[in-house]
Amino acid sequence: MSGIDVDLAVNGLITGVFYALMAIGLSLIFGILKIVNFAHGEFYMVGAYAYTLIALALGVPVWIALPLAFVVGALLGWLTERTLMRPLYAGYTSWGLMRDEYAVIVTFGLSLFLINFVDKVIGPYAYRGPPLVETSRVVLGPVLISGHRLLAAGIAIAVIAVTAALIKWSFWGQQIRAVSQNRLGASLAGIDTAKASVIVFMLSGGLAAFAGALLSPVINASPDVGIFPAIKSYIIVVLGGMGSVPGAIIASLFLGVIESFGAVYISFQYRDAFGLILLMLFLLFRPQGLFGEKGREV
Amino acid sequence: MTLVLDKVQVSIEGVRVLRGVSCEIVERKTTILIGRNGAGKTTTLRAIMGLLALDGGDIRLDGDDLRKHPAHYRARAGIGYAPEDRRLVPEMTIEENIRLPGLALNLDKGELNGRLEEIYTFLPQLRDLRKRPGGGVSGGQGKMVALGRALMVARKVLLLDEPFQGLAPALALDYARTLGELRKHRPELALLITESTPALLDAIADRTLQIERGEISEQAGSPRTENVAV
Repeated sequence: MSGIDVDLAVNGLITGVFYALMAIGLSLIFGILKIVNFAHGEFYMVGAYAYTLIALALGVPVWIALPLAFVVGALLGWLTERTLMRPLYAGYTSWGLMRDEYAVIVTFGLSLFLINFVDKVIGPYAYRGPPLVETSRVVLGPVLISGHRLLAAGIAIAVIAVTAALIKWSFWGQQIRAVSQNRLGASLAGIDTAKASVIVFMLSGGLAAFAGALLSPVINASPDVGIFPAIKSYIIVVLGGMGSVPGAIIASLFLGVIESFGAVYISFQYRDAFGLILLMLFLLFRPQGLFGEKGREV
Repeated sequence: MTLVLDKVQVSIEGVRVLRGVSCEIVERKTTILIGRNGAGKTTTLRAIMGLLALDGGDIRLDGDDLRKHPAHYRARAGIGYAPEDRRLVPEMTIEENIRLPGLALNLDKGELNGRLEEIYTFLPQLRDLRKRPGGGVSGGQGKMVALGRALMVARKVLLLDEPFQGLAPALALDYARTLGELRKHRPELALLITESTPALLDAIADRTLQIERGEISEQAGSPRTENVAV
């Protein structure tokens, strides 16, 4: 492996870490409500704006603006769940009457609304978020990387590790896993499935917003900035297995590396197409994804 | 302790399945609800568990109107339910599945472990399976696990939906014997068991109700009513 390959691998993994911040939330929402949140990219967008505007317009230090972006995303997630997702399991009692088309239309509508709302209220211009550190180049052996990207990746890894640990071991994490694997069984066991879905939406919104904030110095905040990260997340969630969090993390890193090498060895222009090609191959030959199961309910 | 169903009406997909079901499930009694497939047995249990909205009527546990509460409240109120299709969490172990309601109810460790031990005493085969994933047991074993999970919360009422459906004869006898044991160890429990072929339950039934086309008719000839109560 030559120096450039090491550089590509490391940078690909770092890209993958940011993808994972997005994909985990999407996967959790799919797991718990069996819906695809088509507004997921707009949580990323809102986080990018929240961080940038809080830091630049209000003059708040970046280390405070960053967690605030998570909070803004989580609040938007809470609002979305309470107002738009509740009809999916209307008033607690009529369990099981999931209306798939409702979720598609309402989340797609939310996506369009948020894009246009930001476009009208804040404006169509791109804002560059302030970097966490000004160091423009860090050299680690053959690896060349900006100080901000390195630091942001470190923070993202820490946040992913904490999230994974919470889902695996915490009081609500265990209950969320139970609901996503068997909703009715979880309800019989006394688990408040509505509360579980609120927590998942808050966590998912917070993580996506956090990703947007971390990347805003690299990819400027603009009303449609969330579209590409969202598409990548949809691909990753299918590759990893719908609803599987470890699958989403591994598929994120995998896609990051593939894109990194593909951009250099195959074609830079087709960089964003590699994921879609992978998606098609998986749908043809392994539709359950890396970690998904064909039938999770027992 | 009394669980009262009063003129309960439930529709599924616009079709009226229960048309005014009334009955009382009382402590220290084993009530068998018999009826053909499609008569409304499972729907009755699901309505009690709050999994289906009522069109009309009331369900009360000791005067507490269960309609006001979300589905998960039943476990908190002491109602355990073992559904016919088991509904285990596939990627959790058998023991985690049984502990799950205790976790959700935030029982303290001592209490939770105590209940778990009690369940293992009734159902020793679960102790051998405890490390297996929920998705890795047979249908019959899964029924035992679902019973164990229901017992974790069933302080007042235990609902069993077609416990013998699809069980091998030996396993069915085993299950029936377990239910007999349960009656002895937990005399205070109100038991409601649905069955389409009630032969195995004759020995433990205190009352038999028959459900037909969404209506319960009073005791369909069960001479040994009341006096078998333990």
